[in-house]
Amino acid sequence: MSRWLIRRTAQMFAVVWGVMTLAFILAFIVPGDPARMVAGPNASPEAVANIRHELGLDQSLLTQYTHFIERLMHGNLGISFALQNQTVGSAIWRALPFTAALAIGGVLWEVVLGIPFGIISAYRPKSIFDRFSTFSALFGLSTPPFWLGLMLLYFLAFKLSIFPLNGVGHPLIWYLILPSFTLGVGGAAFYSRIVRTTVLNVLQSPFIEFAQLKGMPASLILRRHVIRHALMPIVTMIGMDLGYFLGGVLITESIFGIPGIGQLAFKSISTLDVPMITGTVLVASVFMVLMNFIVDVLYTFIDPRVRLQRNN
Amino acid sequence: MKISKHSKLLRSFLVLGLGSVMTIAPIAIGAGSAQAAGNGGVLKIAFASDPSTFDPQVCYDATCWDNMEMLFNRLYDYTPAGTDLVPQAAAAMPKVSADKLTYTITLRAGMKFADGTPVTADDVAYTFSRICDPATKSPVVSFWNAVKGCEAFSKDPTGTVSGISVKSPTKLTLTLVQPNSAFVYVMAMPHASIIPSGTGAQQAEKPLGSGPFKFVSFTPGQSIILTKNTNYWNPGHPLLDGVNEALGVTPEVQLLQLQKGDLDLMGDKLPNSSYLAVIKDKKLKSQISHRVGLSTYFLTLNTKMKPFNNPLVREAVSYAIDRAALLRAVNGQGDPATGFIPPGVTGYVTKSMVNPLNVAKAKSLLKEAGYPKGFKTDLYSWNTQPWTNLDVVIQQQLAAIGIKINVKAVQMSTFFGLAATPKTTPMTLTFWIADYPDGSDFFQALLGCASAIPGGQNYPFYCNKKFDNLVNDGLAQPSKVQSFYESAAKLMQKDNPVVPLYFGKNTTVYGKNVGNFVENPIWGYMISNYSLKS
Repeated sequence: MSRWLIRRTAQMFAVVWGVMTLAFILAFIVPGDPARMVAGPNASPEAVANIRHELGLDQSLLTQYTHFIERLMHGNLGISFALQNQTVGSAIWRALPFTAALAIGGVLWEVVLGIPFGIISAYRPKSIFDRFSTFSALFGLSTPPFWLGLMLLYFLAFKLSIFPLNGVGHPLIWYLILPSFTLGVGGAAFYSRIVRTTVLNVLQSPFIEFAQLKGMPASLILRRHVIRHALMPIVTMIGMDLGYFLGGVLITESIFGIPGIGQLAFKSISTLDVPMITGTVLVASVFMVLMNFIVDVLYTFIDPRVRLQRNN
Repeated sequence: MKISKHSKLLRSFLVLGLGSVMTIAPIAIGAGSAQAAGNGGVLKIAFASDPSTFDPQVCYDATCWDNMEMLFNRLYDYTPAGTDLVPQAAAAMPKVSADKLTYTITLRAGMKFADGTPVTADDVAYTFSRICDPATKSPVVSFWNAVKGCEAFSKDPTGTVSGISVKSPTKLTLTLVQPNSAFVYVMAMPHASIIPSGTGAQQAEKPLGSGPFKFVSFTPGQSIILTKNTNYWNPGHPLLDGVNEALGVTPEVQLLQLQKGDLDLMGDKLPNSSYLAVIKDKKLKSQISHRVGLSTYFLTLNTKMKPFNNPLVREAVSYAIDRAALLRAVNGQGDPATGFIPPGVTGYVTKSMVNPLNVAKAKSLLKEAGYPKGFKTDLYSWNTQPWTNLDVVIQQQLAAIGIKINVKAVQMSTFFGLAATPKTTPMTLTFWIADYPDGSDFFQALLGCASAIPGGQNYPFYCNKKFDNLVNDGLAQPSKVQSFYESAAKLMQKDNPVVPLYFGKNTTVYGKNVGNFVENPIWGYMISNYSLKS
């Protein structure tokens, strides 16, 4: 088990390093001049050259990469090109709580809507509820978040004034209900279909039949046997979704004016703010590999077969 | 936030349901503190983006620009609705020496910064020298190279800028390298906003100026809070008690907030997709303002690349453009260009200085140039509106004379990089907004020989010494400037390095509670003049 943990941790670092290197190189090979973006459209070529020198952009790519890695080893993500005097670390640190709250809200909607719908549909196949659940899932899966977000804003915030129109405020939860719903509705639809299929399979298993023959109450069978089995694919998906959401969800954050990592990443790309681009990519990749790792570890606790295999 | 009664039950339910999870969000991440309202009221404005800085010598984005108008004073500023200059921090317009090289400036008596310290000539000298200092990384140092010693200082920042001389606490002189009638406008640019001596390093985050409002707080991604400057020199101004700026709000949502009464001003342009709906909305009729944009949208034809190095090809393109059709693609937000210089800018002429649509002549010119069947080429533009709309129309119009356009709509930063690289972009679709109302701002930056270099703004890489001399003569002889600029425009029309398409027009919708609404062609909003009706 400990060898598996060491190997897995090493893989995590390798993936993050690879992603960072790729992001760094990509930011430089796309046509465009970060110094010109900093200088503005009216700056003279001399002023642009001066800024290029100040930012160290006139050094070779290898030298810049070496400095970048050195800084990174010291936990320094650099200073933003576009936002004067702002460190990348502080900008990400400011944006992270909003993205985290939104991500958790989104996953919560996925779980709260997706799992019960899936279980009830599996227990009542072809019922009215099952058909309603199937239709809702189809709607949730096929609705683009930008459209859903705008519709929710228009009707529930603009027309009915139930929710605030934009941004963040007190209480924060009130400002996050629509964005987190927009974020989570697609996943909820997917979860409900996965859970329905898994539960249906489990319900037809011999051990469920055995439990029923033993006279075990249906509620106990659900808690002890059905949910536990149905949990495996859901845990994987929750982990992946949380990792993805924590890396920043651009469309949802933009529509609802949430000052999170996604907005930061988008603005940094449009201004060729290389330190901010690599910083946000680092955050996204770290969350992704970390959540994958956590899911892997959780398997060990949920499924004794996995634990046994890793111990061997 | 307005919450109707029937929503309260739903709200309670949802809050209970999600509350337990959301408590992990830090308590400290709420919106910026609300501003206490006095009699003048607090104006609410929203922007899509944060300012990149508050440092006036560096600022060059829309959010920052609006804040410069509120937080700082310059020696001279524009009249609220016009482009005439009036003294602001200066007591009077500058006294210009007979040789037109020395400007003597006297400061307004009793001027104070927001912290109560007096504004002195040393502060002004420090501000202007700071633009020339390479450590500042000012994007407008090229404008200030007009001042003697600025260019040298920008290369070796030791000592002082020789052309800036403090004569007394309230008087200073500026000496120019050569006569420049547009220089007085340079002193009215946001970058010339006066800051206290020695405070350059703090301005990016904690701006301190002598403007009508005082900086209170900036929460990135959320808000900027300004309050009335009680030390402001102009009695009775500003009319408002403060300004609350919301950040990270898309233009679409800004419009909804404004219609709902939650917002007084949109910080960003009206979205293209909402333009027609807004101007036809009877409820908003009294809240709509149109103004000239002091901007020109144009095509550039690279004079150093085949086939546009052939003047006949460039002329052919100039005859193939239907400006009325282009304007339809942008919902009529502009007027057909009659030249390169837009109305309101020195050098604008009412008679047409562009070639009219004439497809037959365009084809004949192409034939004469050796391209009877046309050719294939690339057109570069930004990948956002209105460019993507215009790209398609231009593609169709040039196809009519046999030129097959491959549209390359790219991101703004990529566009700047490619267009400024020699022999890379045969055609670009771009625009220019005047920094100040003088034609030299267009001619020199976009078509002058000095900017026809890698990294410059002269995308057609056009260089004609005669053209440059005409512009320089205009700057040196203010009384004949119009005539010189007109001659330069005629020369440009003959050479066709650019094809002017249309002059931009700005349409603004503002909150029904905003009083004294006026827009300035250079600044846009003049918030220090506004009041709130209720």
